[in-house]
Amino acid sequence: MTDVTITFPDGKTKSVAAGTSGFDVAKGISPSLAKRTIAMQLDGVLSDLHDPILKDAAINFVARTDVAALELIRHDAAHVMAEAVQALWPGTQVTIGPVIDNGFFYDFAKAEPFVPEDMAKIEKKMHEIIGKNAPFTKQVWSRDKARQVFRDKGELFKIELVDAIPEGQDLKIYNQGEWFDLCRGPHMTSTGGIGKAFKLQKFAGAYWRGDSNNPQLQRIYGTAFATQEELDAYLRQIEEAEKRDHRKLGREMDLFHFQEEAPGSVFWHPKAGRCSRRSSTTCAASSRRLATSKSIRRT
Amino acid sequence: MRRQQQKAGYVEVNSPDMMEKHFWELSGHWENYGENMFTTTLPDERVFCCKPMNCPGHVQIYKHGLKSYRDLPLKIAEFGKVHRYEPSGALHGMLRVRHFTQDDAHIFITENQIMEECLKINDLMLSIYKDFGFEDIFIKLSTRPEKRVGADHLWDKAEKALQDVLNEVTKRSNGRIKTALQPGEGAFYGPKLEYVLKDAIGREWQCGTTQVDFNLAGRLGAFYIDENSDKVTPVMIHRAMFGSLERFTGILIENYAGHFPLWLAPLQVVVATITSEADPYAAEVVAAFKEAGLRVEPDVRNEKIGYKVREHSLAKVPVILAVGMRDTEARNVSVRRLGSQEQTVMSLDDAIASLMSEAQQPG
Repeated sequence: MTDVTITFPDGKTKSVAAGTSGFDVAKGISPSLAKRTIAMQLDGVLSDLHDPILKDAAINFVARTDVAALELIRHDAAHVMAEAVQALWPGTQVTIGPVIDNGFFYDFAKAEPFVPEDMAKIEKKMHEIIGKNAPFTKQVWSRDKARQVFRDKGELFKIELVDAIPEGQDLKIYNQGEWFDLCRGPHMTSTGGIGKAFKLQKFAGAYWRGDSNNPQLQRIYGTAFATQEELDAYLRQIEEAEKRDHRKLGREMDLFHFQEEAPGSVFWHPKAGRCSRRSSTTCAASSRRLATSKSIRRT
Repeated sequence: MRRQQQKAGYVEVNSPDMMEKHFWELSGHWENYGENMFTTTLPDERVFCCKPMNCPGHVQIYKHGLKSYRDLPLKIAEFGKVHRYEPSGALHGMLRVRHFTQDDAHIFITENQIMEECLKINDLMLSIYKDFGFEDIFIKLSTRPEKRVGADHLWDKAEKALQDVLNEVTKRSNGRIKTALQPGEGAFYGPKLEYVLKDAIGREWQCGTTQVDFNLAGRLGAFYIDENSDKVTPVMIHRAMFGSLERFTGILIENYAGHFPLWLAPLQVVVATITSEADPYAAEVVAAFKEAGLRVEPDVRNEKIGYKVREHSLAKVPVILAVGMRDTEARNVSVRRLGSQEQTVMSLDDAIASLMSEAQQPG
């Protein structure tokens, strides 16, 4: 078998047999490194730690406290949330669950709407699933098998997703214990990596593929961080941001309004006219001050 | 304001809101930015586009009259309203709108002037952000996107120039200003420096940009005559400090949670009567504050003073002056500051003097 050269962040290199997994490389260095690593970057691209290394690459082992891990923590949390919802309400169909700025969401097709009390139930179930620390494992399925399995499960939206994957691209299934989902990945090595610092934030309506002609879905937004301190700080920030929402303050201060006939267009009220003139005047005053100081410096 | 900007070497202009489609094809906007542009077909069947950017208009103004190297740098500024289509789901209050006022300027320079001009802009931006209470700044360099115009060697040059500027800015700030690289995030005509401000609760807002552009002036046929009497294409710097006045206003409101410093508050003072007998005196107080250049309004409604105070506090008016019969006789006012339960009685003249000095604009 041919060898490939991997380059570590410190510039050192190592030759390993092509197909060796990142996990094996980490274990070869030290068992503790393998234990604390939850994913890897190959030439900067985040990948499953158990993926085989097939060509020369720069490798970086990612621990769950690294910045690069945050996306995985949130993505994995979305999967666990979907498992929790299906465990609590069998027959609910899962659709998509991406990571977004500051968190994640998952869209569900469920006959009964979620009620506020459901949030705590889902969180509790998620803690249980994470506590089991089941490994994320990946399989590549054929289109036919995927269609068959999802049809048998009654997951009609997933069949549409399968059909939308371009030919030639692997169709990947990620398992976490018994539960599995169609997903591009990557994921951490196991659900335990998500930790306890997550919070579900709100329910919202959504349409399948964002099109109002399609069936309506129920969306759950949540967020997750590596540590409880970071989560608390973020939740405090959101709470504070809501109090400061400029749309609310703008109304209370009588500065501007919006209306349906002109989406995305501001109606500036008389008071705010004065405010924005202030800004431009200050801008001009500073230009002048700077110009003056420049000319003094030059002489 | 125009006079002040002139002193800084900028000339203020006004360019057309709509121009014919073929003009935007020439500038590259139609191909690279067309999906965000508003268009309209006129009765004579010519297709016009609302400007999504001010730059091509400014190039036309630059081209008016032959320019020599001695005319450079030429700084053309406009508080121009630009129009960019955003899907309705992306709209968010003042923070993401479809029509906004850019504090835009285009600086036409020779290649040798890039560093000096970019640093001047940097100093100006940092000083303005400071005036508005933002001192924690972070600058990102955005490099060539996939969809772009111009030869790669020009992009190499422009990216190198901005990297040098960034290094110099970091050095001058003794490392206080943090920087980052954003590959592929540049404008279609050039790379840019993006200024990110951190607000009072730690959120980051991208506001100002400085873009170095080796492409657009050439595409639109702008040139200057150099020392050897040769025609040379100028480099254009596109710069905006607030980015969008609408968005910046939204950011300011959230940063201060509506509690603007006195100089910035839209309405600075309300004179509220405790009894209708004080109405004539209240009118005098209002007139005196107006005369002093403060933004003031009377509240002589037949309501309890507690109600008036609550209402103006909700509207975040920084100063409420309560006046009753006793104040009328003594020519006093009771000063109540937003967020405080305390009331200070002082003479009208003292109140005017102290608030006037507090309301002094920075700069």
